[in-house]
Amino acid sequence: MITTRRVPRIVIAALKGGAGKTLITIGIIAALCNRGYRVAPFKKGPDYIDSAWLAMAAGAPCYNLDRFLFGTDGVRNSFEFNTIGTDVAVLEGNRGLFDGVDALGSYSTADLARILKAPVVLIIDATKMTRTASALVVGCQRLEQDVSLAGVILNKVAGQRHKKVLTEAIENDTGVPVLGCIDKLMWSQLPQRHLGLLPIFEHPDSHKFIDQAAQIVERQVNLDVLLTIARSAPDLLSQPMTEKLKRCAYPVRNSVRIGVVRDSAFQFYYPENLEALKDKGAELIEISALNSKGLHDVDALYIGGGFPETHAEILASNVNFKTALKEAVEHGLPVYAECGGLMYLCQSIVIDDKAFPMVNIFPMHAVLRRTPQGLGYIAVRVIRQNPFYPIGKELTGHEFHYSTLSPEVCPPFECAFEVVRGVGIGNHMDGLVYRNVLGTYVHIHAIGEEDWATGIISAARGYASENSKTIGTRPLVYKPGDR
Amino acid sequence: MPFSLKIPRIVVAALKGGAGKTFITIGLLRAARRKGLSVAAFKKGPDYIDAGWLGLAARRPCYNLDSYLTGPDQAKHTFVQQSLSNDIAVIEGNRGIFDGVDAQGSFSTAELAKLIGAPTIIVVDATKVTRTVAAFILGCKLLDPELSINGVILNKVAGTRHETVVRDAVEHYCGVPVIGAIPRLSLTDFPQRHLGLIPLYEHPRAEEFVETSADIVSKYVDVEAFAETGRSASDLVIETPCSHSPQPILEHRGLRIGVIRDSAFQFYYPENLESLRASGASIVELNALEDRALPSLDALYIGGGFPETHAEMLALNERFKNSLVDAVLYGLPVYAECGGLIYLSRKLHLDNKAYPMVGVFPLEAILHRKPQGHGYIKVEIVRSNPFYPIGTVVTGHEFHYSSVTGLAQDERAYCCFEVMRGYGFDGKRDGICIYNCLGTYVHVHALGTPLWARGLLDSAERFAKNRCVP
Repeated sequence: MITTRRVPRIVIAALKGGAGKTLITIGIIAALCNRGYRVAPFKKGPDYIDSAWLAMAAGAPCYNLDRFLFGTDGVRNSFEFNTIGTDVAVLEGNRGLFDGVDALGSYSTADLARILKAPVVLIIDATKMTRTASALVVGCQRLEQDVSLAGVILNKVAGQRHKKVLTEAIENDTGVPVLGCIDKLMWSQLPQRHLGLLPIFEHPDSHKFIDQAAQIVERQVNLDVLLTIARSAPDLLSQPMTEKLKRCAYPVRNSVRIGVVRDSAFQFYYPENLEALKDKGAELIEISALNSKGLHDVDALYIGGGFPETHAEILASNVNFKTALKEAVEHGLPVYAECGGLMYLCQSIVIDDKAFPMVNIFPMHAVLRRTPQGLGYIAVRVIRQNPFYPIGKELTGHEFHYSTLSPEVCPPFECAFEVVRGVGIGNHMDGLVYRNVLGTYVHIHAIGEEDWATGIISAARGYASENSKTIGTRPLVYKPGDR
Repeated sequence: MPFSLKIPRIVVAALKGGAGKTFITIGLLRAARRKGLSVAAFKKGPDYIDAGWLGLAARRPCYNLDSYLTGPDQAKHTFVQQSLSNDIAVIEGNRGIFDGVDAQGSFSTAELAKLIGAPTIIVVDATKVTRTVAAFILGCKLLDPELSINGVILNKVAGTRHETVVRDAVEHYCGVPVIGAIPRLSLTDFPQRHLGLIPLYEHPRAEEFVETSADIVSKYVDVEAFAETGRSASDLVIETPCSHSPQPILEHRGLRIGVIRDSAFQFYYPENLESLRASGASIVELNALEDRALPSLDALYIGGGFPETHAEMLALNERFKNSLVDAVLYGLPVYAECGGLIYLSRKLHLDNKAYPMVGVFPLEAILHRKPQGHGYIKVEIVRSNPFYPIGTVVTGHEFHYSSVTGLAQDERAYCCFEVMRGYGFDGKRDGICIYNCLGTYVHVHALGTPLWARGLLDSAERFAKNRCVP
């Protein structure tokens, strides 16, 4: 049965990256929360860091929406499901409004706004510009006319006269209301401005920072008009009992225990990934690689990305945990490690010629570089046996890493993935395998790859059942040198 | 009778300041010269520094075109006069293409382009943006359909994939060709300061920078397509044919006007000096850093510049300072703008250090980190002075990081300008006058303020006559 549902919603977009979009979105979300609204935050694209900030600002999980990874239905379903019980959804776009993966703008922020029929508020960095801003707004109104450009927020405005000229010009030339002008001084007065948008996990006082952003927005942006725009969005057509809702209503009995390494070094987990493991019957056990002395009794381990490089010394010095992990791996524990997790499983992390010893599952060194070595969507084909995915399977995810492996491969270690798009480890390879361990630069989103959770769960089940049958002999799906 | 002229011409504009427009224009001018084209360079607006660079790149003086200061007719006239018999005239815009003095964009680069009927290319800083650039260009076309946008140059592209996406999108959605894509380069040789690019004369490697810019532009921009776009301009229609200027009446023959022009004082519009010469006066160039004494003069003009970067040398050249004071006490008319005003004050304060200056004006100048006045300035002459009649309104521009203090301390000195728009000394006053000296933050353009040259020459003539009387 198809019903309609009223979901006030708004997309915060920009003309280009670096316009102050995330900071302003944080402020908008926090200011709306302060007014008593329940805000559902969303981040367009695969970014973990912005979404962590938005989640903290909202006091609720932030879900990523990525049509490239999830498909249209995946995006719609996630949006519908995760707005239930909220008053307003605030979606932060990424990059320029019409920037996508190609010249047609596929998978752009505008595309997302169109799919979700969400009005767009455009952030413009007004530095060194006056009436030309009108031309940019006109262009955004007309390039894709089925996207509703409902308001403009001017950032980094230099004083009253600048504000007046800009507002007058934009409103006269385009008819789009200017919802607010944020003075460039406002940001420079933030005490921790030099920290900018550090990953929230490293910010010394993220709550205070969010409060200040909320105050700036509350003072300089007309939130009433913003809410009116959000409420003007047409009702969404929806099928309320999605698969996911059904699963929530009838949870599966817990059957395996999956450890998740989650601490200030490893932070990159999509909420949906953890939910997918739970939905499929896992009990999740959070483990800190910084503090834990040993591995808990788990049937599989998931190590996400993060910033092991900023915690390299502590990670290196927690020898007990490293040893326990290495032993468990030798005994056949399935371990799925992404990006930062892969680095942690290498022999060492090398920062400025200094090597910090890591777990040494893989004998390579993860060398940190000054510029990103892989950034963007990545597609791989599974070409060799591994504990989680069938051969022939194609996976799409994203990568964002400053590290490379040295050497890239080291026989008998072989790569299970052939890279079809993107960089990965290098030479079109990714997905290092040792025993039941898979290490990869690919970040997978569970909505985009349903098999991801299934693969981990079944590896965990296999390990658990072998474990209960025989003690001492552990199941190995793969041994070095096998073909 | 209307008259039409064939003048290949092109405006280089941007979406906002800081997109790399000046560096690219410098490169285009020199690259066009390398192809054997004679180029005429113009800078929109009152800026001296960009004009200095463009002049160097073109190997001939660059003229400022400023409808706000000189009126549109004069701007068009200057353009025609200075571009005739060149293979191409290149006009560098300022700020964003539609940015003017108000919300309607009056006196914008787009208006200038339409005034002289020039095809326009837009430089886009492509940092962190891909297909949305198409929206920018489409918006420029739609906001003013009378403007002719004929090409795009992308700056700071990050690799060929980035370039391809932006290029395809712009050409597909806007029908405008992308004639160049310059990668992100570490141009450490192009540090920005004060007015944008560093002042030419302070840079020992200026010529090398111009050559480097031309190398980069030749490599990444289709210079032939650029020139061809300039040649595609339709004939320029003017009301009266531009013959050579009528022979001026040499009423001021024999007057000697000193102009301090050295690496500290460099801000002179060519038209200002030409308008003094046009009446028969001769210009005597002086160097405040090295000269030992002022020669015999009938008036002195000190323009703006960067006395702050030469504060120590200026302070140490005491003989020149003393001879200047002597001349002032003797009644020499002195017209000092901005940097000149600072030089004639008592002290220049720089980072807690004070440098003694000439000390004609009972003022001290303090250099700040941020501009104290920036933009067009309009003043009314409210008290008598050697150069302007009371009641005159003078429009110019100001751009100063310094402020002045100590205005009321000397009864012989007074302010003779009242600020109508802009900042000046304090938002209200400007134009300090003592003896026959006037010091002001207002930079005037001789074509916008014809009274300026006449006032200076008349004052010089009075001084010369009095001096001749035994």
